[in-house]
Amino acid sequence: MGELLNLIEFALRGLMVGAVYALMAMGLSLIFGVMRVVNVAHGEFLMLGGYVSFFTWSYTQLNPIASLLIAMPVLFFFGVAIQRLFIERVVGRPELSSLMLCFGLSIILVQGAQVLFTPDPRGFTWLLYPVRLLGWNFPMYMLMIFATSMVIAFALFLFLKATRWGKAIRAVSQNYEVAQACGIDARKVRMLSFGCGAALAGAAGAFVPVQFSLSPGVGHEFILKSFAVVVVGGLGSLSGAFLAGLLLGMVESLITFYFSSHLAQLTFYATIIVVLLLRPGGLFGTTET
Amino acid sequence: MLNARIAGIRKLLTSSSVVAAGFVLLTSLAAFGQEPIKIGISMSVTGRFERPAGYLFEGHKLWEKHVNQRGGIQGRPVKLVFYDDKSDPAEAIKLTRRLATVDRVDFLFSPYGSELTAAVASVIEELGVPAIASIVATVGPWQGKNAKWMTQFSSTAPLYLMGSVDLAIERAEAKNIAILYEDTPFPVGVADGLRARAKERGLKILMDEKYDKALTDWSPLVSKARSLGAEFLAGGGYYPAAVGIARAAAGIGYRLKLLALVVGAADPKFVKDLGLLAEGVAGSDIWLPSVKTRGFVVEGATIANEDFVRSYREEFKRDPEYWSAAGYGAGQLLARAINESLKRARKADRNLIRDFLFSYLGETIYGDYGVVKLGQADAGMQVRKQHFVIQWQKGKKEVVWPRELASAEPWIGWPK
Repeated sequence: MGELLNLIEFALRGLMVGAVYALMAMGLSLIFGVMRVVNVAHGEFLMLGGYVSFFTWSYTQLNPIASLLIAMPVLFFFGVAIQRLFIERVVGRPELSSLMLCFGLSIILVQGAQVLFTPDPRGFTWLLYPVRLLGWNFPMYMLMIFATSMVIAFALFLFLKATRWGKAIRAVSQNYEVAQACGIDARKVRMLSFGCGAALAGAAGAFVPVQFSLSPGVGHEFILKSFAVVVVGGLGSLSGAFLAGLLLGMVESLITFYFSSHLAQLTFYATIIVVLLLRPGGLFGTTET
Repeated sequence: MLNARIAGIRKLLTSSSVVAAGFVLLTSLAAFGQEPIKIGISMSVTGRFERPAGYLFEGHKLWEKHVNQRGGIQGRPVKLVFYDDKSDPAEAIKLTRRLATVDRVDFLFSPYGSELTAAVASVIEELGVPAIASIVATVGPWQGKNAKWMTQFSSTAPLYLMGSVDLAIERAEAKNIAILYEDTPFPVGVADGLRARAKERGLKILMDEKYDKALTDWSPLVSKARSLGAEFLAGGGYYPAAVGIARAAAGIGYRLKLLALVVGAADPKFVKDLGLLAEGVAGSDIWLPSVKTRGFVVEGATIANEDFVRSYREEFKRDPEYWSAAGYGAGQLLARAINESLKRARKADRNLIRDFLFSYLGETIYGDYGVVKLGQADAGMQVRKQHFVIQWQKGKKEVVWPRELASAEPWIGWPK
């Protein structure tokens, strides 16, 4: 009975950590789905969102959830600018071009952050007290982050389902030529998608100073995990990325508790290989790529 | 007859006085104009180690000034000869060779840090120049190397949290420990020390687990320690781990008798980032301006740590860091070795000085010094330099262990 309770507790805890992975991976998946661009600089968008949240807290004491009102728009417009100035120029070219471009951007953003913000790790404490839920103790900040992530994910699905621009994004993602033939401005859709993707990374990043530790290189850890989440969820599938984020968060937490953190990290990345070999479309996507 | 004898004695006394006075004058002049003892340093004036190396070098320079102000070691002044290695190991190797072969320095201080010192260690052994490694936490250049020329002045990783085990047993009355550490060389070394001391003192090890350096959520591991009933949690890695472990423990409402973490817990940022949660967290510090230590300057003159701190502030218009104290302390150790050699052999004999460095047990303003003796596999490796256990109390870092150096009583129980 005790073992079962442990299992449930750590599954729930992993679910909460996984919510941040899910937000990050949904942004990555959205960008890939619409543009076929593997944005390796996505982790740096998360890092920038983290600094917006950190400085907002430092100067105004605004909590990380409220700071989303700043972090998400800032990252949205930053993403739009990056897309317009750089990414748009390599859309439709061989995938290596966009990959190298994003890689270069990633290095510039990390180095720029080192100069601007220094390599010092940063963070702050917010709602760091245990709350009793279903018989277990959970940190209050974790519950709040989980709830907020769910709201953001739900809002994104609603946006894609119910709005004109959301439908345009889905159309371009499903069939670029047909969408254009129907009069959809694909260029604007790409800008919007990249901006939304960056804003999602920014939202995930806003929680980093509270949940983890913020430094210019923090995006590196998250981008690798996000790739695993996206592959497991199915390339370009938003709902897949969402579910896979939660699932891998749970798996990571359980393996760390029962076995070791080394095995947990290994599982994360081994999953990429296994899924690509056995089910290339991802666990929650189609079997075809 | 008598008058003639008195006149003879007078003459003799006069000429003797003249000879004696001349001798004293000549000796003084000789001492004043003596060839300085040259100490070479490949120093990271620029590059990624610029900041800590800058403090280290200021410590060396202040020591040079103090020795020369007091007339030198047995009358011989000291002179630092240095070049900028740009924080680059290849450059450090090149410059160390140059210092020994072109500048013909008598002794060497190692470059800043583990990486550069590891790079020059074999060169120093090959050149046969007595050297002091001022700031190196890893044991790589000594462990199993049977070193003959370089000794380690600073502390090694296993010593970092050893004192916290004594504190946990003697003051917190902890019966068991959970050791949780990052799987990279420095934290692994820290955990080795914790494990060894826990076994030696009969503290039951309930958990001994390393974690991947990419770990971002420590709560599963901290929960495991809690479910095992660990009263004392110790270990960690770097700054993010110290913050992450403390947050994870607080987040699940884990109450401990003592929480001791490297190295982030000693960072002033720790208390800024964690606020009240940092209160009562123990860590490890190697030197503090407040500790009551004292060390040799020249024969008949010593300096207390507080006087070093004051002189340093006057000289460089900023507070010394532990790197500065290591630079000064390494100089004190070398001065003592040279002093002994000059007294015994009337020259700064390399072999005598080397033997002294490998056998001396004593104190500088930086703290205790003592290394594995010459001829043993780990010769030259530091074994006496203890770390202070520090604890955050009311936003201030207090030394709580060892007892004789404590600035405050330890707080038992975390979180506060």
